[in-house]
Amino acid sequence: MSFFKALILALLTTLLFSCGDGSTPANTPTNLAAVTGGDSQITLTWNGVSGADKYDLYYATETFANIDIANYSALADGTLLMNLTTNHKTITGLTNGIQYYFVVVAKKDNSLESTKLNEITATPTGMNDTGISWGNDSFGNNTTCIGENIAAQDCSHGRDARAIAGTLTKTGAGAAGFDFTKLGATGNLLAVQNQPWALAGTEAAGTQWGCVKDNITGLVWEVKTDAGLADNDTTDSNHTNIHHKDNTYRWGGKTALGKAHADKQGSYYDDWTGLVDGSNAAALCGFNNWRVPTIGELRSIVHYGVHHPAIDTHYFPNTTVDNFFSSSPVSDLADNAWKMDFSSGYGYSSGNRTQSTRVRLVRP
Amino acid sequence: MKIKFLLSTLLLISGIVSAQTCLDYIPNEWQDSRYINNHNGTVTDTITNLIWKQCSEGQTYSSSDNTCTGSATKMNWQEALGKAGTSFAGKTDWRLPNIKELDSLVVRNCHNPSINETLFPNTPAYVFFSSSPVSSTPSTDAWRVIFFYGYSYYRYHSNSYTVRLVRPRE
Repeated sequence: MSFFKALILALLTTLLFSCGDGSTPANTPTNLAAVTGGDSQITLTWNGVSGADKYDLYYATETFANIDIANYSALADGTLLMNLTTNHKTITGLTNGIQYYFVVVAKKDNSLESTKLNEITATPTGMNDTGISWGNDSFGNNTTCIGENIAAQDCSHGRDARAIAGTLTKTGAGAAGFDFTKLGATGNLLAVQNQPWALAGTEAAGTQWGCVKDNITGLVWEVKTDAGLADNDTTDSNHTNIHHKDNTYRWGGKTALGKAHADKQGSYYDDWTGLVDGSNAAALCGFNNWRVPTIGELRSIVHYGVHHPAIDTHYFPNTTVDNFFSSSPVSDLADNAWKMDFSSGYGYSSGNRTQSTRVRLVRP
Repeated sequence: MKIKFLLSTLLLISGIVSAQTCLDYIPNEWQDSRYINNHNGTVTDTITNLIWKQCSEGQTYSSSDNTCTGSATKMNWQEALGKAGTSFAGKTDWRLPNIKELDSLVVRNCHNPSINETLFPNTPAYVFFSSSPVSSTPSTDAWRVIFFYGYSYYRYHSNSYTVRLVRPRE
């Protein structure tokens, strides 16, 4: 081998080993996984690396793929948790409904020993409480959290109980333990959040808004309007005044669960497809991934502490005391779909798909 | 002969246990991977961050084969609330779930029963009480979920239903 050949080989070898990103070294922590359960928090676990004495955990709301890991702080919400000595970590104080990127790096003697190739993503979400902040005696309801066996009743536990005790911190506001924020038509946070809806209102005055963000579940919900007239025929392909509170639809349009499945059962009607497509085309509140919610998602905004309607009406005005369709089919009745009755909050299965029913969109 | 008898017994048992019907066109958001079996009669739901008893009240947890034996006890609402604070798996903060917590166990792609039977074995396809009273009249009711197919509605406190307890994850 000539001297030059040896030099080139040596240079190439140096290059290869210094750019560790080209392949996964054996000492990169593997099986990085996230447990998403828990309000505003994510728990990460990974396989320990033999010989490593510490781990550095990086996270951000953008991918690390295009940067040198040392420049993590240039990424949105880029954060480094240094010198962890366990192979699990719970990160708190995250924003529900936002996707986070995580990388764990193994270290030995305070030098970087592995690469960022184990990047994973996870989105923290919380679970809404019921909204019940009062107790019950066998003869009736009380106005406060008192009653027989009260320590075991609904009002003594969860976010609602912390709201009563004054120990609950919220991003926005809302009845009992609920935490909502109003968004304008382009996704802007409404500057004035505490005004009631007005038929001839404006976003500037805080009296009209397009959507509500649930700060616990991370879901963003369509708000219904009372302006103009309802579209009295949603079965044709021309859907007008799509957000009107009195528009009703047969079940099964775009985003209905199972719609594309070869073994689907029962009928799927396209009535609400105009609502989904129209909301996406207009980028309602800045989003183009609108869909009909599952029955569980629909139940998340039911306020069981009130009725007629069973929802926080300050944030969700123009909520008719009626049923709303979910995207969920019923497993034992092929012609039915789950719907939620917002008069009191019970989840029927008896919603025949042919029966025109209200719909409120959600995303993501 | 002995094997034949054993086989027919097995078939008989499986015939009773596997009455559940699941449809593959409805998405299953309640697969085994969502839950952590703590192997002490409790299960952690990693989506809701709740810890559930695998057995209904009245049933006995059998750790050797991870199942629930015996019949679930039916009780009225005050008796169900009274189950809170009982000791199990080294914890005493067990309580009746609220209506949203109870509903989060409902598997929408299956019925009879509408629950993950691997992690909640031998669950009766029956009515379970929640801790949530009812805002609309009559205020002598409590919310409940029917685990035959997942319907939720309210009925009298004085009626007797089955109970599954829950506690928060630390």
